[in-house]
Amino acid sequence: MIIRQLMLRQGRRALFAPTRRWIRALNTETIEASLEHHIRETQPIEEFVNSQSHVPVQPTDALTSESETEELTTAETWEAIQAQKQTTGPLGSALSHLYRPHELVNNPPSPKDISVESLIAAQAHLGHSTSLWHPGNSRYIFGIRSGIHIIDPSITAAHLRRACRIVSGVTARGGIVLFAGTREGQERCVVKAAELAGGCHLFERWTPGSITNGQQILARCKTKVVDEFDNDVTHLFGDQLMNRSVLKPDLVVCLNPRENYVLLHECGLNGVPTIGIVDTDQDPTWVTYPIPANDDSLRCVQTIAGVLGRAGETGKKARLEAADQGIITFNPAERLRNPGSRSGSESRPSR
Amino acid sequence: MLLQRLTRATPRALNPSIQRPIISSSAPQCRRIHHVPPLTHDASFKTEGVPSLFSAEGFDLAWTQYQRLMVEKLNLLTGGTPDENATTKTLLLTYARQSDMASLFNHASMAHNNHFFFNCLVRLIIHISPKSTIIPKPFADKLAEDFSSVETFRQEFIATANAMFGPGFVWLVKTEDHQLRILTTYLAGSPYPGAHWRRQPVDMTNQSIESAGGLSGADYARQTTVQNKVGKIGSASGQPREPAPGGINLTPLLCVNTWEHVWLRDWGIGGKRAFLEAWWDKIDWEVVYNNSDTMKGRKVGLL
Repeated sequence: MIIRQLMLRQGRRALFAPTRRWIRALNTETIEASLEHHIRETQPIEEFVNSQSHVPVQPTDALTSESETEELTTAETWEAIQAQKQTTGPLGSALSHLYRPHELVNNPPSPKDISVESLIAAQAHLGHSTSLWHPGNSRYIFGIRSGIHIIDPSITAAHLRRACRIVSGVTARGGIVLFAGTREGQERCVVKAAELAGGCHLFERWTPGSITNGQQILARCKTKVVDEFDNDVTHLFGDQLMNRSVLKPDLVVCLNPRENYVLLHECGLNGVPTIGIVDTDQDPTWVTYPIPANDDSLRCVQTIAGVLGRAGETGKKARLEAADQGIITFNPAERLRNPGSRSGSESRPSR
Repeated sequence: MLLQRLTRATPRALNPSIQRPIISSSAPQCRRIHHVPPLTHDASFKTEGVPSLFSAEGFDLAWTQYQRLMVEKLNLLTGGTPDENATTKTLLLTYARQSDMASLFNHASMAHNNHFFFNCLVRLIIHISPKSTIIPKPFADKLAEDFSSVETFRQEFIATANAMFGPGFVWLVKTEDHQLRILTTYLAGSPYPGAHWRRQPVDMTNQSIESAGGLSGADYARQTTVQNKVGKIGSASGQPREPAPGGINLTPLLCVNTWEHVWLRDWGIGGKRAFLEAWWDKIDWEVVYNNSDTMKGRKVGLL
């Protein structure tokens, strides 16, 4: 650079004439002190060089030179703090996991977190008394201990993973999933699972006939139309929705089949597949895809509902990503006219 | 009849076949335990060490055994206290200002700094990889800008670390205005601004408050600048813009552990300089570059 060229021309001695030593002191300095030291050293060089040459040297003083970086806004500073916390925060030691009940509902685990250890920790393996068992689910039972049947947690894990694939498959194709859990304490996890999957929830009594006699019972419910990006476009189809039949769910996830026999029976009559938590005293044929687990433990139910909700979220995300690329993964609603067109043309076909 | 009464009257307590349930007097303890954290290249470091830097035994001493000691000490010091679930960094920031909790701060800071050092080591497969990793270009440009060249930076860094008498760490940090600087911390000092009371940037045995660098930034500023700002308001008054709440002053990017136990076994008593020069080739510059990413996509050099 300029200083080195001058050195070659003027000679080292001329440039090193000032009394201050150029070797940076190796004592330990603070940042501010080292910056001031740096400025004090370079200012005489700049003055000397400026006096010798016609081209002025750029000042390195922080105050006089233009700052290359702009001031960060409060939001950017916050983002920077969070990013630094993620990078350097965990350094030092690895802390073991601690179970906190609210985390299971607010931030549920995903299907890849299913393991025999987590299911046993959630008491999913504890069945009912041996005298109350249903022989139909003997294939799921590992053995007997303390007078109760023990459900094999590896079988639970396998069935749960299968159920996850079904839920994500349904949501990836734009299907309606109904999460039903009517026992006390199941409201939060049911709502959260439905929210993640973009489906419906039920935590109070199922009104009998809502599917078989849906046209009567659900007639006053509003129907909405959404496009491939899940945006509400009901206002474009207003008059076309007047005479349409009520909707039925495409998949029902029941967290307590024992109390919801009517719901499951209606689903069976109408060809709606069902997923359910089946305990050792329940009939596994009530649901299409049983998950043998403990329906009495809230932690177990929250784990299963959370995992299924996450699976639904994955499917929904895949559907929206495909829509961003112009690929429609679902069958559009039948007999709906394109808004603005008078003829009875079908809505745009799917791929 | 007498025998019957005797056998019936045998108290159950003397019957060894009955299992007595153990009733705990207190609630079950639920806490998070500190463990030695896994490194990216743990498996190979444990078996073959870090080639040309640490032997397997040297790595075992410097990392496995020492970090285990720090972590066990942390478990003992925090067990039963409200801090038993706190992370290491939280502990060192909380107790940097409390001299009666100096032991907890020291162990937390040492665990953190040691992990930082080992996190920045790269695994190079001999005969396949080059001798050292390449510095990403934007980062190398920034180093050249702030230190006049990468070679100058290397010499300065190693010279600083070599000149420190006694154990400590030397850091490459990025300041608030995105300048790269070298920072030293003695013993278990911490570079974080939240723990600046325990930065320990100088050797207190040979530098006093009056000498250069004796004071940390805040104290130095307080003793050298005008403190009374009564009546100064408005855009022309020269007031600096208030930083956002909890604003970052600096980000550590890279560090070297100059404690003797780290290099003594493999490099000998006089081998500090040789250790530092060998360490230079084993820095994982990708990790260092990623540490400078304090905002999405805005790493050093991309500003």
